[in-house]
Amino acid sequence: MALLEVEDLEVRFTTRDGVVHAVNGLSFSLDAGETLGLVGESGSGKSQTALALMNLLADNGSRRGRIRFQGKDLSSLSEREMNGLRGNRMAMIFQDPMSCLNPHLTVERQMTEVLEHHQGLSRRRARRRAIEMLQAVHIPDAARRIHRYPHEFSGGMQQRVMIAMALLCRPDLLIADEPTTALDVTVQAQILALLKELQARFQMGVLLITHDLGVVAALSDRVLVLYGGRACETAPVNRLFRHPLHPYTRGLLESVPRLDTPVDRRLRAIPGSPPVFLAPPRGCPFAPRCAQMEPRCTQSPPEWKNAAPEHRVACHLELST
Amino acid sequence: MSGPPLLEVEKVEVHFRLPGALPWQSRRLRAVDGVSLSLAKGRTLGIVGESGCGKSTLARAILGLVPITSGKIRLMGRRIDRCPPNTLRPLRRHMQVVFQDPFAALDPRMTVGEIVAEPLRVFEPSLDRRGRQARVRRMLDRVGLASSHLNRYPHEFSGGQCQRIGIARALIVEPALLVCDEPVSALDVSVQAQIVNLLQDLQQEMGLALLFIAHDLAVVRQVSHEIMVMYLGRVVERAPRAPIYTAPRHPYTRALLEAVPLPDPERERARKRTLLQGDLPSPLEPPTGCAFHTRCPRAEERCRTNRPRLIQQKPRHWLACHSPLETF
Repeated sequence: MALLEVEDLEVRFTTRDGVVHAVNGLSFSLDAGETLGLVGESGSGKSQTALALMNLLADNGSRRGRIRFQGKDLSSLSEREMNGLRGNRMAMIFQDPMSCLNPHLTVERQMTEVLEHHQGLSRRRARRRAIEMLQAVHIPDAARRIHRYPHEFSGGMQQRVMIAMALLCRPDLLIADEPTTALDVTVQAQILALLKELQARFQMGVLLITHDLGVVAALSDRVLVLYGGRACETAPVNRLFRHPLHPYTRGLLESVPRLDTPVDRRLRAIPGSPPVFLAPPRGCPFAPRCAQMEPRCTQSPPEWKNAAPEHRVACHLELST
Repeated sequence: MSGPPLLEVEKVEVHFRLPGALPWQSRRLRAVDGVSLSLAKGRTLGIVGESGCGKSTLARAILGLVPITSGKIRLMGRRIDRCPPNTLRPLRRHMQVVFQDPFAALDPRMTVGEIVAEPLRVFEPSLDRRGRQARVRRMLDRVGLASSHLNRYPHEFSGGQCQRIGIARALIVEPALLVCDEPVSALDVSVQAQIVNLLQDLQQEMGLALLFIAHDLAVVRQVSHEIMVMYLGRVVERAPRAPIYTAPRHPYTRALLEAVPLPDPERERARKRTLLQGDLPSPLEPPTGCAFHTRCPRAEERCRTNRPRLIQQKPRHWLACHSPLETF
């Protein structure tokens, strides 16, 4: 059984300008112990998908569709039951650690609180578990540093504290939303290595949300490419980078300057910019920027097609590698 | 090459005094600590480094946006640091800037036409309205925007388009030097490539020199002829593109390159890399000796005590390291 199954997810926001259609019928699943990379640019719906899964959408947002986590339909849960899962069986880490650490509480207090609440541990046992987890994320001198406030840690160390907090209850699902985007590159390399290590150690399912193709390549088992709130391609990670099929995936891979290939005179850019939809797009959301667009592309949304085992693509065209 | 370089920066220091709780507790932050560089017409110098390395402060100092503590800055052979405003003004048109945040850099109450025309009002006041309009239209067309955009406001545009507007505003007075401070890091990947290409095309057409500051090493490699690597306010290595990317001598340069994850899962996972330990030290309390010694895998005793000087290794390769990597 899949750890997480998402079917036909829709996320909308009511704004002054109208209803923004952020996620438009997204389906995917994630197995226990697997890392799925959710890749996309701004407006692709990747972060809103994560927040919808955690039921943490902004007040003007609403979600529809089915989300099953360990077989349970999340939309049937009460707020109280959801609170029991969140931070416990499913946890989330963010780009900015200070957005989820409480600046007024010591690291010890915010960590023990989680364990007392979800697992009913005594303060003493909770403290011991918290220190163990800080050691697991390689914070030196954890037993002493646990008494500090978040601002007394450097950026990379705050990121580690946040990861330790998310993992306290040994969640089955970790949602990582741009976990290294705000970090300097040498610190990013450390955090990527840490996430890889922790994933192997705790065997959790990881939903990795990022715009960085290097980060996806480093951590994911499988990749789902999003554009305009829809999935356009999914495949095992090696296959996706070796044989991308969707014109958007190809365009994205070709447009990044990279260190492992000779310098071309020009980068291959995708014209135009990522869309914001005030009505769900009738056809393929990428059609306006696609060099191979045909009339049917703007008329109906493309269906999933199997290109190879585990490799599916949503495109009207006949595609070949 | 003949004549003086377009831009010359000589031992520039920019120090900030940070007030403490009490007057005698104020501290000195050496944001830029003795940096020299020169840049010729039509060339691109890339400046890379992590947060706190002083790359943006250096750019702001060159533009005259922060005062320098000591050193000299020359543009077209003339001193532009500490020079009176009326001497500086005619020189200023020769250096323009493009910032990171495309929205913050544009006045939301001005139309695109007004934004792009503004430098012309300042530097070519004798130009009449029609002349100005024609120049603005030509420039907009050159950066890939339509004349129909003239009367619109910045909020009606995407990030990439706003960056085009910022580039049009910078280049309308035909400067010799364009300082780009993280010009593409706020943009989506697919749009980044458009702006990088645009800057390269414009450079070729107008013979522009670019000072290109970015933390993204792959973007810098794409655009730069030469690269300068900074760490905590100082230059640790400076060389043409090929040696920096294929045979770096400074351990920090190599660590930076190794840290970048490659968009190729097989190669990325097969990679052997030495991870640097720890975070960047605070620029308020830089380590003694070589500032990098606290994280350097090759640090020796003298690295802790003696600060290495930036020494010329080869005609265009400069290095500040006691224990450099071998070249093969």
